[in-house]
Amino acid sequence: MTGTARAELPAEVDLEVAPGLETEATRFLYREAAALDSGNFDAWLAMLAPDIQYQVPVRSTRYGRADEEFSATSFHFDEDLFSLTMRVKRLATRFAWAEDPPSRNRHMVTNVLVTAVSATGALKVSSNLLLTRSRFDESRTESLSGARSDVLERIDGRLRLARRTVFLDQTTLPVGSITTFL
Amino acid sequence: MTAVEDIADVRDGLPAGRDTVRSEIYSDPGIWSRERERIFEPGWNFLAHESEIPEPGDFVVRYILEDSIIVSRGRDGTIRAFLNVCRHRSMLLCRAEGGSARKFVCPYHGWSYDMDGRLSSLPLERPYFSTSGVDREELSLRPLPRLGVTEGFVFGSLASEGEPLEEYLGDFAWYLAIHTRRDPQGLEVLGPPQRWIVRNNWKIGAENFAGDSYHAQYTHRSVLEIGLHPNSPKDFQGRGKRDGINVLAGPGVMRLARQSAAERGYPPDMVDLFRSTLPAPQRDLLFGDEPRWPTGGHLFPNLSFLNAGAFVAERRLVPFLNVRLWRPLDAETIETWSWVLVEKSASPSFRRDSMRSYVLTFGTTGTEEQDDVENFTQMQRGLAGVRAKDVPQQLIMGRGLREEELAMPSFGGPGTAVATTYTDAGLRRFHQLWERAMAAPPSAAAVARPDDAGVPA
Repeated sequence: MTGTARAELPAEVDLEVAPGLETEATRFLYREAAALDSGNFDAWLAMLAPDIQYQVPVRSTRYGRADEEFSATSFHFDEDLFSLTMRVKRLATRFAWAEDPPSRNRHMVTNVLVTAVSATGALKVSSNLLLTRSRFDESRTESLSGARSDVLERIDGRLRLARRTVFLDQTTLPVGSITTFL
Repeated sequence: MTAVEDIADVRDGLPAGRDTVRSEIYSDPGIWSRERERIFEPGWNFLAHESEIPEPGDFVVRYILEDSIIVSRGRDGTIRAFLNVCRHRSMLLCRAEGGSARKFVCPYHGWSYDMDGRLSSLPLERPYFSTSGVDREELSLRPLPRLGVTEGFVFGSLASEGEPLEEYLGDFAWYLAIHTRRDPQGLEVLGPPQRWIVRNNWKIGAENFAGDSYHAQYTHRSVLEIGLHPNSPKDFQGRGKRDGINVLAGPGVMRLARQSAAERGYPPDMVDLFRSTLPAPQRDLLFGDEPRWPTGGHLFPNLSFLNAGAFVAERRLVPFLNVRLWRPLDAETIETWSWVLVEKSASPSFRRDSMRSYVLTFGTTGTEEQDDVENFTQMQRGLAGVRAKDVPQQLIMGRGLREEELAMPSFGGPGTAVATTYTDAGLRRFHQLWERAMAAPPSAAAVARPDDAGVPA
């Protein structure tokens, strides 16, 4: 069961269709980041499609093409709405020590491109992510970076995140754990 | 087998019945220096699972201390391990973490080596290096001094002398076989390991798996509250149904639940396969009158096992088998390597669900491991102060139980079994092994300071 998932690189961008949709997609991603960074996880769950697929594959250095570095079987996250909801429920207990006291997590989302539009109005969106985490009185800030490949679907006229794959830059993560969502 | 005299040994896991260890051993650079020399350099270090390199030409790059090591499968199918260092100018030869190759070529001057380590070619060899060609044997990659493969697990040592792997494993091999011999085809990894950096001493993670069943009821309270697996907080109370059996076996510890494979989440076809495949002694232990199933354990110095599970959908429990290496980087930092293994006969859907069950609870994003890491790293912060180092670690749990309550005279496996996991016996055994290793040659200098709260002279 070995195999590789290819990173979906935004190679072919239709620049003619994009600008207005890019503003819409960017606003969605910024609102999402704000929900996560303010700890408003219920609002974040409400931005997800019921059939969301959310994956962060394990990366390992390979000779040759960078897009063959991602595992098809080994993950940091491999989630659906059930598991994402359980993670949010956990954070709402009084016993989620890794986030109590809360970390200062910050999602910086850039380089947003709408790379395709489906007949139903779903958007394929690529973006870059820099996540920083500050904790307690430690001056050291942990960070992770990567490329996101998302599908935003229109449900009842509103965009919802239906698919996300995050292609992390690091193979050895320089963080003790990931306590938020990427 | 268990007898009351062995219980005395359990209870005296540390010499002279001591129940404390010095906090200094988790941060002191001198101790770390000695651990390198006495434990990690001569010892058996886990490198890889053979399923990571199934085909000739497959390789992975692994580490013992700072030594980078290529573990490869040669054209003849044999697993070998070499120092990942070009014989010309000591350049790191292979700069990928794994893959498949026909040769390794050094980017500096182009010396190339085949997969069994032999120097294959070097540019301008004749006449600049030698009119007749260089000595291929002399300039082949340096093999790792010792390599051992058992039950699919590949171990290596930086020392050429020492106990053979099988002798080292002793009774622990019997418990390893519970995992490796339940499928006729054995186990395989579900892809490459997660790797990540955690700021705590390597022993803190190791101890958690060697003998800290106690922490689950509070560290993992959040996961119990939301009902991510069938256990409730009540099950973790005194004599609750999460109390199992603790076995000290050779240089390791294994814990067993009083639950069947089916109760642990394995589907009926896998349970049938396990029952019909396991060797008789292991089968009798797991599928006897009182069902049992391994839940996790530890092999000294730094390899841990976890056979747990979680709901991946409403009331759908799926188990996973996790193997993890606590690789020390310095006295206060580790790199955790974590693999998910699965029975080779497992269905595609079980494999997928097993990985999902793992990531939801353990590893880089796990809802349980997040809180473990929080506690490990804050424990490290707590104990590293000048006066804090004087505050000894209390490994006293289990002392409240009487020997008659602990003894399991008819337990069917090797080693010393006690009828509770709520005991620090595994931690005491870990430190007994640690102290023995630290006191061993090459140096006659004692690690210990007599009359201290910690290590005896």
